[in-house]
Amino acid sequence: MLVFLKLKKMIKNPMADSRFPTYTSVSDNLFEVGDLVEICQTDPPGHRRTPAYIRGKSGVIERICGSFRNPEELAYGFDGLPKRILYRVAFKQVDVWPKYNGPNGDTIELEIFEHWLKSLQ
Amino acid sequence: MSETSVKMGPHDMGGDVAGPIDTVDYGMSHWEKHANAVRMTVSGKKLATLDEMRRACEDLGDRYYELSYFERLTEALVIVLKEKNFFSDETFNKQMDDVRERFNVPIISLPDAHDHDGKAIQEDEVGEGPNDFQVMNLAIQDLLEKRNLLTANDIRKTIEKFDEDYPNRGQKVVVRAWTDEQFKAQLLEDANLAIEDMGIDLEHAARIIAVENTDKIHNIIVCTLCSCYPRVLMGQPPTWYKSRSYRSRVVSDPRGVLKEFGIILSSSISVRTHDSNADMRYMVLPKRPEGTENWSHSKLESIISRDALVGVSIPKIEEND
Repeated sequence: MLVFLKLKKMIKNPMADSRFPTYTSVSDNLFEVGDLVEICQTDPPGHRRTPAYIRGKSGVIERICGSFRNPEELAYGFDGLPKRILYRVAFKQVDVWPKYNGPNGDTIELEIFEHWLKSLQ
Repeated sequence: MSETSVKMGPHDMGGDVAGPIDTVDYGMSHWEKHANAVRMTVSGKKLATLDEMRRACEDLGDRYYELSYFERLTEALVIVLKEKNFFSDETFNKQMDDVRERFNVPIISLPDAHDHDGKAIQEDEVGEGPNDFQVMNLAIQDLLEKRNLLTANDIRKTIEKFDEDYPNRGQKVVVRAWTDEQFKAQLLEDANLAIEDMGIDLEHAARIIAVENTDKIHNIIVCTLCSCYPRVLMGQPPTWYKSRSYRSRVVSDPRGVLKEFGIILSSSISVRTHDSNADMRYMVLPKRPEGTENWSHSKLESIISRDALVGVSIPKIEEND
């Protein structure tokens, strides 16, 4: 088995490595672009990439970024696997800040991992 | 601040009340460049992850605000490397003593006749020797070098790339997009592929999203939780980008912040604020000013400031252009 793994590493296609696209492919994503979602309103301890100001707010999936190792695990020396799907979610500023000083069309956009999202469909 | 959410820690500052932004970029001193290079080399060689370093930073508690940006990153790096058993407390302290000893050179009084052909003498940046944080970074470097995990050359090359290569790339991308519609479409579709096709190596280090300013949209970039920034494309972020005021206020009052940078936008323009809080990094594609149709690429580059790529400046034709 070990020998096989080593061989597999050696025959890795160098061409496939030279491209480093912005987005990675995803499968089995729970959400699509345009879906209405809410950010979980929970406050678990530990390293999280979901800022407090956006928890509990509702927005729309703006794009799917791909799957990435989970930073909540990576931060403590684990491998971050399985990868988690990362979305960009767009929020109306007036929905996030009650006293927002600007027009209705202004948005705040963040990257949110799938396990922080709830469907509002 | 939302009434129901609980801040994760001192770093979770998006929406906090904070003072005005000092919009001057003070650059970096040599020890900060070295600290940055050590950190980048450690993560580049996968000795530790940026996530671990961020977590260690966040856990500094009150010290988070007491320390300057690179002081805090240095402390965090030491914590993580000790955790991962690259060295013990004792070994590290001993190495710091060794580093201090290296700088402990006698002061020589020069003869009166000694001069430098009339040229000014360049004094050391820190006349008293290295500060504690520089000593820490040098000790980290020494200990990892001894274990063949990195070399002084790796650190030097990283400092050079940050000084010379990275800061000039973004402007070239913008000019290409301004002058090549097909490239612009590809840039907005998948920025990494478009940028790498120009021959710019992103070193597998950043996933970049380009956002376009138009007559109806103005984009502005921030990272509220730390200071994520497309470094391989734009170099080290300016001082204000890492400041508490900018990070706290941009998300809840982007128009107020833009005003401090001298930009007043009408309400017919939507402001899109991008918090770069996870794996993606952002560059703003500014609007090409009218009247620049026949300009050369180098002249176009000259009106694109780094700040324009973050969204706090708008390229325009100066009177003497």
